[in-house]
Amino acid sequence: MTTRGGATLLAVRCETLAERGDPALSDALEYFDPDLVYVLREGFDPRIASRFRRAFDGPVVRADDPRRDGWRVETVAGIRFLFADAPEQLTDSADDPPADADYVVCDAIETRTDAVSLEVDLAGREAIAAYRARVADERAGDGGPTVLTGALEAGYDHVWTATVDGSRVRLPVRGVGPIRRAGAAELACLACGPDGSVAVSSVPADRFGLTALEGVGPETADRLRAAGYDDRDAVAEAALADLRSVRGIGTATAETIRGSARAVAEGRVVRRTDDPVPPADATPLFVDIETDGLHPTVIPLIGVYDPDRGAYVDFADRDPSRDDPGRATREFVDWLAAEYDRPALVAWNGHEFDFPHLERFVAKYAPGFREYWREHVSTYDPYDWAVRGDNAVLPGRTNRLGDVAAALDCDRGPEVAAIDGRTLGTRIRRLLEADGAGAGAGAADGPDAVGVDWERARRYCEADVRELAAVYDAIVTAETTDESHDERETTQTGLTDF
Amino acid sequence: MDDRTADDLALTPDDLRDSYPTDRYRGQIRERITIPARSADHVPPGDVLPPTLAARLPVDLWSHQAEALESLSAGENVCVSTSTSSGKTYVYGLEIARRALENPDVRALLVYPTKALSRDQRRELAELFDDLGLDLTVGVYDGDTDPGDKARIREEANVVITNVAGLNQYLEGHHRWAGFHANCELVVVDEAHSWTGISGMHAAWILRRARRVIDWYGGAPQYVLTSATIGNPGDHAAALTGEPATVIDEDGSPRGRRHLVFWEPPERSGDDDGIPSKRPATVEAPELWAHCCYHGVPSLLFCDSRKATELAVDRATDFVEHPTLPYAGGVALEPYNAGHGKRSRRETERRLKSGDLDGVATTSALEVGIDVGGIDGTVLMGYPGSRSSFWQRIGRAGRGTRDALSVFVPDQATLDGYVSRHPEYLFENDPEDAVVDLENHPVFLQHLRCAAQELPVTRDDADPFGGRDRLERAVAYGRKTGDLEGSLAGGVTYARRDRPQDDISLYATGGTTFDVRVAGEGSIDHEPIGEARAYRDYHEGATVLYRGDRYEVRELRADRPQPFVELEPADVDYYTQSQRQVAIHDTEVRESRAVDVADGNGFRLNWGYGTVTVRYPTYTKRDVETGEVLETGLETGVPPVEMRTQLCWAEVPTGVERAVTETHSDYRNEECVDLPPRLHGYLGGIHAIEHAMIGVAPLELTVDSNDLGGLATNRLPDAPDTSGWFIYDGVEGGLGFSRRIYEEFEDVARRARELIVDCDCGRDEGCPACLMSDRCGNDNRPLYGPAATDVIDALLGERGAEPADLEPTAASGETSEGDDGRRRPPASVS
Repeated sequence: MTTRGGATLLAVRCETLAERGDPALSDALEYFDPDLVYVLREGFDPRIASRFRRAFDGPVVRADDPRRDGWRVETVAGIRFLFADAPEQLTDSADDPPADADYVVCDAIETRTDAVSLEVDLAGREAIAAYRARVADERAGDGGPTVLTGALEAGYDHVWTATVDGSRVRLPVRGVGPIRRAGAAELACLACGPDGSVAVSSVPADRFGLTALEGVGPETADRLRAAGYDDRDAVAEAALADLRSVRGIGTATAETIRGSARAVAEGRVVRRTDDPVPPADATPLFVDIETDGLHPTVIPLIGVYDPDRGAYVDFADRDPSRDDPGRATREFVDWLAAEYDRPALVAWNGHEFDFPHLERFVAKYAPGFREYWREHVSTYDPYDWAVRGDNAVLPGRTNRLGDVAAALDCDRGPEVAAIDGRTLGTRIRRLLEADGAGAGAGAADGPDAVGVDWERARRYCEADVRELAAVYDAIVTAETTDESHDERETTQTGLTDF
Repeated sequence: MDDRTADDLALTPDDLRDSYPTDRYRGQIRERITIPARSADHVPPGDVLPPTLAARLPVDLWSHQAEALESLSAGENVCVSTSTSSGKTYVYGLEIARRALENPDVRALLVYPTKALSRDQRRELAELFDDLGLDLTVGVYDGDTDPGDKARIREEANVVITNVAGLNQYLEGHHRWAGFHANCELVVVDEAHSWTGISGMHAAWILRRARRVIDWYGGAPQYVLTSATIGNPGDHAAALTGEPATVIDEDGSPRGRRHLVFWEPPERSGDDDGIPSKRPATVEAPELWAHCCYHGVPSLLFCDSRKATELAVDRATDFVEHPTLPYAGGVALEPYNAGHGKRSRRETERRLKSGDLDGVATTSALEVGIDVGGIDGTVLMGYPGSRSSFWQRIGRAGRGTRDALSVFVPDQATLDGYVSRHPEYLFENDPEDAVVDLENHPVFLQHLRCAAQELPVTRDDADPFGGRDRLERAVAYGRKTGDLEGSLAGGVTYARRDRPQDDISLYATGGTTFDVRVAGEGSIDHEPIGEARAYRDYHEGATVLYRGDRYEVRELRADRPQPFVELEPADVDYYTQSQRQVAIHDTEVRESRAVDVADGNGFRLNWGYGTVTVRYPTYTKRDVETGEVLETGLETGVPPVEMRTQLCWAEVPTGVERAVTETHSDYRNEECVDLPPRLHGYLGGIHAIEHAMIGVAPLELTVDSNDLGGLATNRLPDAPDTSGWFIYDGVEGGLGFSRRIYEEFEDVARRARELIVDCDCGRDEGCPACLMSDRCGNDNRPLYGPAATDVIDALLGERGAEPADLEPTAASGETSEGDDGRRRPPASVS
């Protein structure tokens, strides 16, 4: 997963891992394929660090003690990471650390908050600033290093400033810690570019090893291992009767577990019921929306793929503004009403994201179509149906569309893969906030570039809905598990992969 | 058993005295007050309602209902603050009905304090709409609602009844409520007086968040708030909703004559420490109640715990069966509390209404809501803590125009003692104020995160969300902590993937919260609690009274990602109370004023922020009934709590300090070996003021004294040459109470003086009902009433009997170094 011209750093908080055995760690390494593993200070467990060292043939750096007496530098994939136990080591060490680090990694850098007085400070800010000042001459014209810290969540992205010798310096700080969310926290892997740009990918920490299988929590994983099932392949090949003999595993769970293992091992969808995939009696219309974040203020791009017509259509507002955030929504629903009498919209995780926001935008910005939307438009979410409804087991590390599609071998091509929804969202937000200045096409690269390459965004959106169509087909054509399964209880798994 | 006509009240206060067993009556009746009957003030429905509705309404409206409906038609919000059973439900029920004629898809949101009353209200509203021939649906949407019904309720119900904690959660899924919000014309906040203190500020922010979401979909609701009688209904409504409201408090409902009797339990034989003591209310009240029930006054007895209701029935039964007492035949009595299960409670309600029962001993469960039928009497075992609750309970007897008898049996506690000696307090025009503090930043930040997650926050939100400056500072804070992203120009959104709504606990102000669990299989529906409260009341070994059941804390674990306390049901006859030690530093004055007395040598009063470190090193076990100390000095094992909070403090002018110290320099408390002997009198005085002011604060504000703390010191942190006393809000960030005490400092001090001077104990060192506090970390030493009243007199500009003594003995500009030239020794008592 190495980004062109960058290095990937996998940040691990030991206590966050649901499963700590060698197979699970190897599994994580295989999935993320990092250039460097960084073991965070919080929740540190020396056994996990040494297991990583055995399993990984790159550098494994411990946050609490990068080297016995101070800083340490690792250069991977052309990127120089400077690790420090405490920020003071950057300035007070007997030997000065090198000036040309691209990233400074230090878990002692963290925010200190006083909510009563509404004040926040950055612990270690002085030391980082002093290091910046010292290396300024040697690095004229460059933005200086980006600071990474395990004390903050991956996704943390704030540019602090400090005054050194009367001049103001920028201190970009990014978090690498696990991302909190309902359910398991997510392990983060950062693609660190030479220009300081950081892209985060993350996977729930319970998705490695046996716990990656549906229906297997840490306790069941222990029992499976005790019964001799070390990895997922072993589970995939097991007989149901043997799995059922493991304590705590009943008929239904055994089916779930093995179905999941097979789906992952063979890269296919395993159906658990014979129920028709909704919408059963209409042609699905695949939809995806691009927004400025998880809690959108605008929906500037809506892509639709109609498999019957074999046609992709999109509605893009290339000059999105918060004065009229619903322009694309209006065009879309206007077109939809003209073309389709009773459309059946299908979106991945649509019940949680695309549909509520579309519904909200239609209500607010296209009120004339509210009736049409409520009475004529049906919405379907194959993710919800498969996973939450327990109708099918999907391959893929996570149930994110990209992961499922990749496991099914529906590749989207390198150019489209280089952009993702979150990055696009950040770009759109910056565009909105640039206040007109510098708006427009012609996106430069780099972390602070303003502007959205709409052509690229449209290609990304098209790839997404076509991928969705492919995954949908894979679910429709998948075979049901061979064993009979009467009286199987439906479980609401509560998976929240998004 | 009774030869009067059915329509008369069976016992007047005279009858009560005359009929009471002679060897048991020792002059307990301390006060008799007759509250005259009030006739109904009617308005024909046609005056305010459209003819179609007026024709179907079987009764006339009372004037306050009509007035509220008129204000609503004029586009105003209303806050209806009238007596119990004055038909407040009709105000919003008829308003919804009236609007439904115009817009059949009208929606209204009704917010109740808890789930408990929602179902009763649904029935009542549904019946009203039915009578009016309207096809309006009413749905209850809360944690007990069947998930299968939820979509239907959102889509179809004209009236959705929920509670504040639920609303906090449901706001996130607002797209599912698009149609509801777009047509939302009325937001009703019922029992608005109950939102005060910590939960009050959460409620205020949750209502603002709701309004923001409703506005986004194009709804433009008016507000109806209903409230028991409070001192500041208009301000309170505005604080809760952010909108002005017209106060409707001219009660037009009728009321029969009411006899109110103060029944003071008799003295019992002396205690070993010389403090006089009386029969506990828990013993006296059930006997009196039994007597009333026996003599044909069906009565409710209000108790403070479930167990007390059971005990009271046993005591009452024993009393009437006692062979030497003049009762023949029994009385039919039952306890009533939430521990009894729905079916058993319905059965008790039915028997009460049908006249099968002569009396019911209840917890606050029967204080509101449920129709209790033909009750003629109420007996209050102890003061319920606030005037509104007092009148609410009293109001359960004598429905309609029937006469009623109510008896208040005070317990041995500060407020009970004060009210019993100052019955006029209950009738003052100015009841307690509800306090909602929007200043608390930690709570504001929590709700800003929620708001940003629900819909992007922009500059347009500044008005309801703290004003532009504060909102900008909070957004800058949130961006730095990684909680928020974006700018107010374009829209600030929540940057994380968890649900910030889950972090809201209505009874904590953020920071660490402790889950409350029950050991074993059982469960407890207890909100998480804040750290300060956990260490104060939920340390290991503490007893916890929750919804009338007593538990003991088995374990307190702070070293977990989610800290918790674990309780187990405990059938014990004691309760526990921790003692606190307080240190205050880093005070920061935000507001300050001089109390001008004639000679310019006045007190300075301050309000601001400070850092308070509280230790709860020990706790005491006390007998549930008598309050007697069973064990003391037990260790809590909890670490100190440090909080930055709001506080107010008084700086005593040097001249006053000298004079009072001089006057009372002979007073010694032999136990206070750590304090300079000369200072025992003066420090005992300001310590006593601190205790007494906290003790009487609930007479002015709707506050639980436990949420306040204090410290008296002869060296203030920012003025080491000055003495004074503090009162602080006991939670991180503050609650607004200390600010209100700052604003009304003189009134609170005056009440404190009355408490000290008028107490029956007549002791300079006070008693548990006046100067002493169970929480005192200095074992209530020194406390000295005479010095306290001298200081208060100086503060109020009222010189006492010996004015010469209070004149400064030296020029007031002199430094306060002692006569021997050394710095004053530090001496603080909390």
